[in-house]
Amino acid sequence: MKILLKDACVYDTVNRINGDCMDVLIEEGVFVDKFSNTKNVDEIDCRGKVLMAGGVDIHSHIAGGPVNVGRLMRPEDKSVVWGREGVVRSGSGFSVPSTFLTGYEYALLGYSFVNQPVTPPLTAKHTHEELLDIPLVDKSCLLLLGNNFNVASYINNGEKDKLMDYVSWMLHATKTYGIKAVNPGGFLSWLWKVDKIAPHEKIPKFDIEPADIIKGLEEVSNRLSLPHPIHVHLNYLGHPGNYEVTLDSLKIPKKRMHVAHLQFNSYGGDDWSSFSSAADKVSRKINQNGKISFDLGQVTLDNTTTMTADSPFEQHLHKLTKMKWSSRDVELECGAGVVPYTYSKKSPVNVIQWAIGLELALLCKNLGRLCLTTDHPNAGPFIRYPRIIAWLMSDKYRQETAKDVRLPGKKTLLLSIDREFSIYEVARITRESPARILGLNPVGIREGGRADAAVYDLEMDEVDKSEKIEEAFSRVEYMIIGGDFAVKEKRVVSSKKGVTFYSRRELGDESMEKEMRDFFRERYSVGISNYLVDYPGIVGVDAA
Amino acid sequence: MALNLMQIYKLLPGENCGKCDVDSCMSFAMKLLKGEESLEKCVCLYEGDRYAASRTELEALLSETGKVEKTGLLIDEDRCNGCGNCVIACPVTSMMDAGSLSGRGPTTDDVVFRVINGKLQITNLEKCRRTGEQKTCRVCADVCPTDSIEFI
Repeated sequence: MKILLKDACVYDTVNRINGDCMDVLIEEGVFVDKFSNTKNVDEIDCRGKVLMAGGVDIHSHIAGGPVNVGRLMRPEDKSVVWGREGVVRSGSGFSVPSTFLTGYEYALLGYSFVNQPVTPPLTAKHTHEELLDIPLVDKSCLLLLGNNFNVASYINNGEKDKLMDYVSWMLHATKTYGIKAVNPGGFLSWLWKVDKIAPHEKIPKFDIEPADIIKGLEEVSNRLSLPHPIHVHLNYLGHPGNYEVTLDSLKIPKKRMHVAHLQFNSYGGDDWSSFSSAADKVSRKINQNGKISFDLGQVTLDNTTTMTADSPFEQHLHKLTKMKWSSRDVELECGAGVVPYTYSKKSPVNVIQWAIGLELALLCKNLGRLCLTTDHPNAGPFIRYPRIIAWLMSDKYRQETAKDVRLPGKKTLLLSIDREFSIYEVARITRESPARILGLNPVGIREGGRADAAVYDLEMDEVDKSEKIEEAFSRVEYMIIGGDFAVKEKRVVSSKKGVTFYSRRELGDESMEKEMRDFFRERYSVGISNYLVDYPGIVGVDAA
Repeated sequence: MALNLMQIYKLLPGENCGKCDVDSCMSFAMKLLKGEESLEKCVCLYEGDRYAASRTELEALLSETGKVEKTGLLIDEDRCNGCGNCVIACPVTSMMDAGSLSGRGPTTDDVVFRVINGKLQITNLEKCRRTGEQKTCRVCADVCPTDSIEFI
């Protein structure tokens, strides 16, 4: 299939193209400089319209156990309904959309890759089945190891080689892409009635601290040369005054660490009544520390479903709001919890949370380390990305919203920041940065690169109008994924399946597998043969 | 649009005459909002035509608040489509009936409200969390797709 996107305004940060008008040629799934022949070319007039590479979401809960519990628990979330239309399947859901709808909505936003950050090893099979069901976008998922009994034991006993063999085997067994640690040591402590644990406190029944788990897993990640650095949800998430713990945690990694949804870890104050923003203090440290990359977790002030493997936090949220609560102990590996929550425009705490996310983005000096996320669906659904882009691009829109929600000006710096993101910077935090941090080696829009391109109905002279920005980014005019149309004239036209990537491992010998067979027989409620994941459609990628 | 205290206060004469047996117009506005007093008690408003325009506007506004429950709940029956989102999302329902945790409808009549004949109807208002410790709960209003639930 040959496609010619004529006179498009290209924003490609990988190749440093900043709004140049050019023709973009696509043939056989890749960008080309010249067509092999000029027959059957699908020519599209993109005069003055914005064209970017396919978006990459580094942190979005789109499949797996907690997401499904959220769907079950909240039939009221199904008020958004898509009917069947041609090849497009039906679907429903606002904060926890069904699998098909997730793929279509991402394609409509111009995204082509989504990383599912939480996969409890025991539910990896379920997660993969759901991921494979999500159409159009490519996916990957990260393995939860921060509260794993075996990991903690190996680190406790100083068995570094064994830890590496174990992680390597687990990545192979569950077909996952990288390592995730959620509230490291927090769940292990919660089992012994300790609600929260700082990075340098002892974990009950072990002789180690959460910092040791982060260090141990980071070392393994480096030794295995995984494409994505260790992805950490820090301790004390969501508690007022947690920024000091965050600053402590940022000192832990030796080489690289990705901090997930930093907004939830940048809180000042002593309790909810004195709750304030500490984004400036956290930003200052991040700007000085070259080892850290982060994503936002921007609150969008919506009714949503919170879900995390940080069970103690979900219990805390349930106690606070007395809403429905689902909590699960995933044997020997981790836990998970789900609680519905509304970020209210009338709640000063929620409004300050909204301001903190924007502050973190606006104060970030190196955009190569910043990724745009809402920690879907924890701080808001991913379909709100266009609104966040509009807030980042327009000071006027931020001020209007702050006035509308009565932002307490003294508790945050947001109103004094007048930085406005350019469309080039938006392309960087939604495309290049997440792709590089995930180790996807983006080549951008140049010959030989995979043809993922999003054409937005936004002309250059309209980029300073916030309403127009939000409207344009909400629905791409054309979306091309892998050289085929996914969206044409703002309508989804394909249900093609994407693939799921995992980090391919060469397992040295069978000693770990043998050991795990015995371990499974002794401790697990499932047999090892039911644990191993192997589906067509899961594609291995080699170490970086 | 929910009615608020200032909307009513601005339309009252503001003379603080005390003829209505309430100390000030602000207190009288508060009592009107809660449905504890009737507008006719304001003597100034009904004397002559001086406040005729305000009177007509206030009467129109307060005809709505007549249906407000003591928790501040106001249901617009014309808008309600009977989907039952509010019944399932209500934290009181989930405390009472574990089935609603996995999305099923309630099997007991003790819930705060139910959908009867396609419209939402209050059955046990005293069970609502707003009468107890969670006075700012507005889960039912947040999940209503037609905005037919409001809290005043």
